[in-house]
Amino acid sequence: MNARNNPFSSGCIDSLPYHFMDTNREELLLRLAALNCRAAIVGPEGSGKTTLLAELGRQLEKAGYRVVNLRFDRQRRSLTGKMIRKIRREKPTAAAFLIDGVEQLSRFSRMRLRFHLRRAGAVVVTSHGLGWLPVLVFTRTSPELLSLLVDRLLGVSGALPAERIRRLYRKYNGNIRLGLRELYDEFTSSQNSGSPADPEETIPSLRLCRKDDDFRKELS
Amino acid sequence: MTGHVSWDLAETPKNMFLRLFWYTRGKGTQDLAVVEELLFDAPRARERRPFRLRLPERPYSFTGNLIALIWALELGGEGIQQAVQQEIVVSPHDSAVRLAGDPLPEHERPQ
Repeated sequence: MNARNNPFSSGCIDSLPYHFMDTNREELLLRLAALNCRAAIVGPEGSGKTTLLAELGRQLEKAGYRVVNLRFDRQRRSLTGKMIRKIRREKPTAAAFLIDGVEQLSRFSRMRLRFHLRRAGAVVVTSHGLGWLPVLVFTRTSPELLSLLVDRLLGVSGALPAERIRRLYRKYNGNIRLGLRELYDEFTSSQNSGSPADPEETIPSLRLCRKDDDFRKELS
Repeated sequence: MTGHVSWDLAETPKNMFLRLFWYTRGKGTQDLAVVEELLFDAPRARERRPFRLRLPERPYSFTGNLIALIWALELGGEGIQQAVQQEIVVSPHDSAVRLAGDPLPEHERPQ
């Protein structure tokens, strides 16, 4: 199984829609409006914060906002001049700024960011912990969610035994992304060798992920 | 690279475009680059147009266990929900470059 056909590739995982567990899309949008369109999505790594942020971005775009994405991670931990110019180019009140990984910024950078976004129409950030914006939602995961996502990626129900899912979930402390990455490797090696190490853990069938929507989004 | 694209739409589109791009698929973060975009002026609802694109020297299409690079063409237009994509192979051979460790497809394996 090469990267092209692996159903657990990052492109396939990223194309999964956010699965609402304790709330729904409409409730979340009402809550965001009640918070003056300034809020944080808080949760541990691999719990769907970025996926939910993208979903909110689509909804805000439908509501007429121009969506501007800023992303911080371990490699990008400061607010650069380029980012500030990107913010300044926008008519602030008409723009919704989606900021992923705000916990990576230093306190000083966060203060600068707040200053530049003070007139923004909407600001939604993702973070691992509480911060300068009120919490919109706490994202969480469960073995059932992992099972559901595996089923979606493979296009079959009950694709992996429940015990396998629970072990995978525990191994990565609930980080769904890491669990799916392990399945990527497993799928590659089992298909390459022609005989999976554990027959009970064989992934029964393959459905190639739908990539078109994602790429169209990126391209447009 | 030369060819023709055709479309048959219910309404006259505002514009139509053809994009040449590549993307990666695999375990790591996905990468994507649009190499060239052609705009078709004053398109009609039903039409066939020729195109000519210059393929860059690199990257070649390749495939491996951890990453694959795929070239594609996309035909779409403003306000059109569905864009059409066609994958192509950019390679000095007749198939994508195979990275070490990537097994041959079953029909190509020696008996």
